[in-house]
Amino acid sequence: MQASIQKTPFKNGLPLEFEIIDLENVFYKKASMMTTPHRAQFYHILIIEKGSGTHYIDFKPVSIEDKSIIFIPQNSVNLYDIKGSYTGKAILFTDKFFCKNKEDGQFLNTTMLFSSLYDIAKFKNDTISSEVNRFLNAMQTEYVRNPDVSQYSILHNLLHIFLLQSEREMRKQGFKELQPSTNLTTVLNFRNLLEEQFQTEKSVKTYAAKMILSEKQLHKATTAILDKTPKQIIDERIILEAKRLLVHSKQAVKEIAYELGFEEPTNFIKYFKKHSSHTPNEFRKRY
Amino acid sequence: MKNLVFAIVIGATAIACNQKKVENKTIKKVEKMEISNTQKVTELLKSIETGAQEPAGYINPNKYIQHNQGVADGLAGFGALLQQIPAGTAKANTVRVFEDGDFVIAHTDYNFFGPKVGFDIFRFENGAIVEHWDNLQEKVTQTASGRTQIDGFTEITDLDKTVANKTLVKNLLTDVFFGANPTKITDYISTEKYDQHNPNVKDGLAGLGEALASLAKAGMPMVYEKNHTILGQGNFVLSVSEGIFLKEKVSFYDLFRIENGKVVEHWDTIEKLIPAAEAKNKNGKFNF
Repeated sequence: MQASIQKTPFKNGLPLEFEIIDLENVFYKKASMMTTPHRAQFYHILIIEKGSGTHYIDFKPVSIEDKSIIFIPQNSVNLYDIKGSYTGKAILFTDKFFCKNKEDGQFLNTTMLFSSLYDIAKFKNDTISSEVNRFLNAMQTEYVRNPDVSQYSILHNLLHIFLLQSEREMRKQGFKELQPSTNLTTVLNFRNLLEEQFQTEKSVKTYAAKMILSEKQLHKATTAILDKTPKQIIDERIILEAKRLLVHSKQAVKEIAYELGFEEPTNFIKYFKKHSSHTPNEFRKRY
Repeated sequence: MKNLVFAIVIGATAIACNQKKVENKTIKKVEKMEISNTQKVTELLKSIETGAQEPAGYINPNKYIQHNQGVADGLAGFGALLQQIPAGTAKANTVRVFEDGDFVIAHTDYNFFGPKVGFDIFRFENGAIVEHWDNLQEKVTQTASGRTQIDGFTEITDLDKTVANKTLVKNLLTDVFFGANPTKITDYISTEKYDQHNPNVKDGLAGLGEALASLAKAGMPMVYEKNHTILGQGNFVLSVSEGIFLKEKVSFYDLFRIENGKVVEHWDTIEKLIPAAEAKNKNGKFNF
């Protein structure tokens, strides 16, 4: 699994795992790389000045619009629209850059901007004098400064404020976030556990047991928060991984089946068809 | 008694004038044989417009260190640049030109690939040009002060104050632009008259303050990071620096005119730096 998808690691030798790049430049110069699906090991923030087309994040379409900001979680599969156009900037950073301490990690894990509990975060950024833009400008100015001992902390803090201002802007534009609750905590823990083990563990019962909960309690939490059963959530995760592997690796279907914990390829094919209405090979051909 | 003194003064002035005339004549004679470096630069820049071949002869054909990062090194690079310009479309009108030691500084109203204002610096060795730096900015039609990016005072005066004026600009940079002592700005810039030719800034100290404050408020302060050189002659002093403007790495060329110990007029060009990987020569934008 580690080696099977083409991963784009952060550029080696960068003093900070933080970059601000010109979207247009990257798009035209590295067109083949960008329009071939790849999985990025860093968080992306796309600052779209002018744009059109459809960007795919984990096979879900996100439309590219003028003056908008899009937040892409790490490890998601990005497919840039070859016919689309993007002008603006992209901010890239890693966990290592942002998570100086436990609180930073917790923030990134739970913020609506990068959480898999919600759709991809996106908002309109058409007020030049907005706080969001102020910190965006400040980050860009700091980024091109000659480095000194304060630069990392300043960039880190500016990014943190920028993300907080973005959350505020999302709420202003009508985004409803989930309120902290025992159920939400349960769902987040379940997601984290699932992320670690979905290749080998598919039973709701086992997950519940690991969380020291009854199946009923887990069921209650996921239906309350996401309106999905634990089984549905497990299936969705496996199907997403199957799709990623089908499209981004050259592995045979039976190898993928094995990697995802199916002993019989036919079971995997049936399972895939049931949940995505295509056979694995049909899906692969579409991309 | 008073009248006598007056008469003597007049007499002395008359003699002085006569001497000056004689001197001027000899200088002119010399110039006929060997034209000045400033003249060579003016002719060379004009040749971009006229296509004249001779001025390129002022460049040392074996050594022409190019610092314009978009132009290849050597005389060949300069030739290649000229060839890119569609014939008969270029304009080059040098408005100010002065010298400081082996350096000649020109301030030119250009039009090639669109109207531009540019500062060019040439270094001479044994009467030939061996090195070139420049900084260009597009011309705009409307400016905040109503002045153009290039008009204003052109006459070189106060030749005896070159050192003092260069020192003034050096201190202005250290204290104000680099921020060691920003409140001392009125020690350097006249509070009565500050004619501004930066297209986005209004006249006067207040205009400068207003422009800097609005940039800072938007989260993109203008940052001077390093001064590379200060060149001047008489009342004109040019500083070459690098820093950040509108979120980009840029080079700042600032030309100051000094009158009675205070800056009274300012022109500049701000050019985005080309990343080293995309540069057409390895000489760097600065390296004076």
